Amino acid sequence: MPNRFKIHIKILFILAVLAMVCAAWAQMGSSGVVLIKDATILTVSHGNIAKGSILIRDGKIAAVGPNLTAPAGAAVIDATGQFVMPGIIDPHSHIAIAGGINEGTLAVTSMVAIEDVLDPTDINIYRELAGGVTTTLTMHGSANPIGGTNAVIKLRWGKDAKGLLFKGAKPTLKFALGENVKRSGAAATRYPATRMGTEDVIRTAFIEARDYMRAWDEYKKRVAASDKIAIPPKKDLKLEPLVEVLRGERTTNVHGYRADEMLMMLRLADEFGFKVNSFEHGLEAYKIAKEIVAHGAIVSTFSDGWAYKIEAYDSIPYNAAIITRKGGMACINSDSAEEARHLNQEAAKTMKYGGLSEQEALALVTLNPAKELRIDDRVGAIDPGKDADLVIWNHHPLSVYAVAQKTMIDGEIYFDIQKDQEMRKRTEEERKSLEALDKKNAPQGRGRGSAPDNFINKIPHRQD
Amino acid sequence: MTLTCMRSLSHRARWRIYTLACMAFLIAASAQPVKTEEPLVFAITNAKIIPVAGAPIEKGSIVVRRGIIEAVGANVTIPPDARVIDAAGLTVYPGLIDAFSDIGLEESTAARGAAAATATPAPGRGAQQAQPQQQSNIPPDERQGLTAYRRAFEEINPANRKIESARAVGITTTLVMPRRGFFPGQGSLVNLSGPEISQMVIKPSTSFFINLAGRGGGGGGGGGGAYPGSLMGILAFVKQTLLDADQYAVAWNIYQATPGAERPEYSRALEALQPVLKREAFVILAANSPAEIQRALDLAESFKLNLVLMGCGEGGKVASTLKSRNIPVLLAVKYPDRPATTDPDFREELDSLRRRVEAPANAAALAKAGVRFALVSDDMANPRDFITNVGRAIEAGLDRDVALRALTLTPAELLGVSDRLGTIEKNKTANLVLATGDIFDQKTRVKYAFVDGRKFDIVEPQPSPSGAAGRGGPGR
Repeated sequence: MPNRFKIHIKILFILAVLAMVCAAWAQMGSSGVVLIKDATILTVSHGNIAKGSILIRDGKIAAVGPNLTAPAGAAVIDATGQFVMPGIIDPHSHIAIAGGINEGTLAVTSMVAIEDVLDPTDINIYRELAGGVTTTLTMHGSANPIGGTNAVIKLRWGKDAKGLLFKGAKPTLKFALGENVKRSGAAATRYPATRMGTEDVIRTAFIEARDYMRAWDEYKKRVAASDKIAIPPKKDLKLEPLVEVLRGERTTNVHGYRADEMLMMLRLADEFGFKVNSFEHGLEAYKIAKEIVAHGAIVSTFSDGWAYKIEAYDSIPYNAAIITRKGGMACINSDSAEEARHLNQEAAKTMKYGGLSEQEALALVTLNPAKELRIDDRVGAIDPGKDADLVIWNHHPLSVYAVAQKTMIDGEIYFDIQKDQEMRKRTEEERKSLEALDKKNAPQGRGRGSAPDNFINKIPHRQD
Repeated sequence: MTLTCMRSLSHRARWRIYTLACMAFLIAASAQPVKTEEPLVFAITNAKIIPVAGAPIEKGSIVVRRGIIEAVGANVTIPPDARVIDAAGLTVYPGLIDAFSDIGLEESTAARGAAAATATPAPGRGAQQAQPQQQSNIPPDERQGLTAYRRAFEEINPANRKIESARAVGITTTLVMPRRGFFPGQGSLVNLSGPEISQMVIKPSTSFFINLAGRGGGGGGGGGGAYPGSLMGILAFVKQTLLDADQYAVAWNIYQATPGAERPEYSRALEALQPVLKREAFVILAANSPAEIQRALDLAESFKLNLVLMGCGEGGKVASTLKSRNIPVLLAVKYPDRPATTDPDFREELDSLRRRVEAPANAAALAKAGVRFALVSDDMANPRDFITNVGRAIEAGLDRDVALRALTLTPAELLGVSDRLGTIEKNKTANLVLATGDIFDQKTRVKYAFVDGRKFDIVEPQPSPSGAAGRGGPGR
């Protein structure tokens, strides 16, 4: 009897220790040391490692290689037979924005900022994590020639708006050309109504920005000369971002479809001495690859899809591959909360159409967008020193059978396919108890059906 | 002229006119005394008194003289000139203060213009140049919703029926705030008495409202309409305006200090905003969700505003932030409605269900965290619903005394009038509510309300004739 009792106590003791160790491990996962072991690692920057491991310390990749051992106290994720790639970066999206993605009332609205209206509760953040996306450029729409400033965010689901921001990312500004801007198909009530009008609006805005710079310079000179009656010019939130573009402190994302309008923008940028950082969509970029490559603009395009409007008639699925082969840089973007959930497959299409290599295809949704956003020192590849933003897939991510198993940002797991299943059960239980409470609170209320979500109406579409 | 006319009339006709004139005078004169006959001294006796300032008095009296509480207590000598109201069976509360409402507000046509600007399409396509086009797209102050100079009391109609229905649930004082536009104007603190607005105003200007939902519609679309049309546009517009107001002060200071300096343009709106930047007036921002609250906090911080948050329907989720940053809250007890749908397959989003079911518990969560709040109705159509919803908050865990305080002393303190309002104490304004029981009880009815010492008999509102048969009639 006493012996058995002792055994019980021993077992209890062991269980307690185990529980504590587990708790410690869980802690480690969020702040300490993690080892992902025995996976096929697709580094994107320096090829693949067949059976390798990644050591993560304090949210950063500490080491990558075939023969890594877990330090004492490290949490170990056994990824045998699985594939690890850098977190996908979607360089053109409109998720997590509250109160409208366009301030389309004026032709120039550079005073508006996506950063001001981030919505950390947008469920698309979580859904995109399930597709392996970890970083997104969430943008102002393309309703006007100069839209708002965009925000680079990490998809840290559960954090508040500030917790989403990718700190240190270079500021950006949205421009747009073509049909959306000249209000084709919309009730046209605002200048510009043509492509030449669009050029005029952008040029005028930059002239205004230059005058504004001069006014401030002059004011500062007068103050320096202790001029007591110098009145400071008004600080203009519309012109400040344009001044930053002229000074090279802010990059430009230019929505454009047709070759002629993109050439116009390149000439206009040369005229004012700034760079077009990227053409968004740039469906006809392949026609002017030489000019685009010479300017150094990046082409952030779709994998395929065409003829959904006149200016998309000449779109071809070889666009990204041609730009790549001509020595330029291309990215594949989603422009849609739905498409963002399979950007790996979108990238894979460039292997069929244009014959890009596996690594080149993966770079279209990882390293290249990191370069476009000037965050390639932090993310976009699996290299020591970079942020531990990683996706673990059950199959090769360029296969249609690949399903993301875990998505990690700064070493923290934000999506786990197993935990997701448990979470679904919990939310279903929560719903039931809430519905019961709701009925109790308002017994006169009409009953509700419990058919599944009206899913069809909620499929997000490309903003084009 | 009149005399010559009179001369031309016959003697008899002349007499008739004199008689009529005399009668008219008498009627007019007799109307006057009715008003002055309103007693100036009241004694409310045998009442249960909840003074809020101290412990309840089970059976006591209150003497009101010329609008002021002269005495209160269990043993009060009733002055011989007092009109005595035997309040046996009644409970007396301080008049309730609704610290953010639209009670009696009938916004001016100019202000309506600000809203109408939404519907006005911008000038036609094909204009010659970008510049003039954009200029004409920016309307003047009124149309732009930049009317920080408006003061609510100027747009209150003392005969507005909502004043009566607010009194009927015990509300005697309210901060009325203009609504239309992005800088709609300044809130006025008024007593719900009358009959003239001049008799109602306690403070003509107490605070400014910045309305981040100024256009109502929300998400700005691809075009059309006036700037700003989206939330980010509204935020940019608000920031630019505050920057302009700041620069305005700098420019005028330079002009006034130094002869030879250029004279800046005068702006009524930017002038009016100066107390906001000097932190002399508090600024009310409406926010409900944690993200909206964060946005309001950020805006207030970047311009060093003296912030008071209004709404806070989900404030309980960020109660610790509100507490640690010591932000006073005007907590609106508007609860979300069930989504209206006829779709049999409709399934409410879990988030929406959560928000709705958990709404009444929000006040208790804020109270538990120690956040200082007043309960407000915002723009609820029916004051009765306001009190009903306070009752639901109490059911969901809000302490009854805390609720009462949040409708009396706390708002009085927030509005800087706690020396005059918010409790039943000697020398305070005689704003009192005589109710048939606990004021938050559904069955309780208010029998009398005193506002500034004026007695109002509350009559049960008659069911409106269109009520039962009208809208919900058969066959629909």
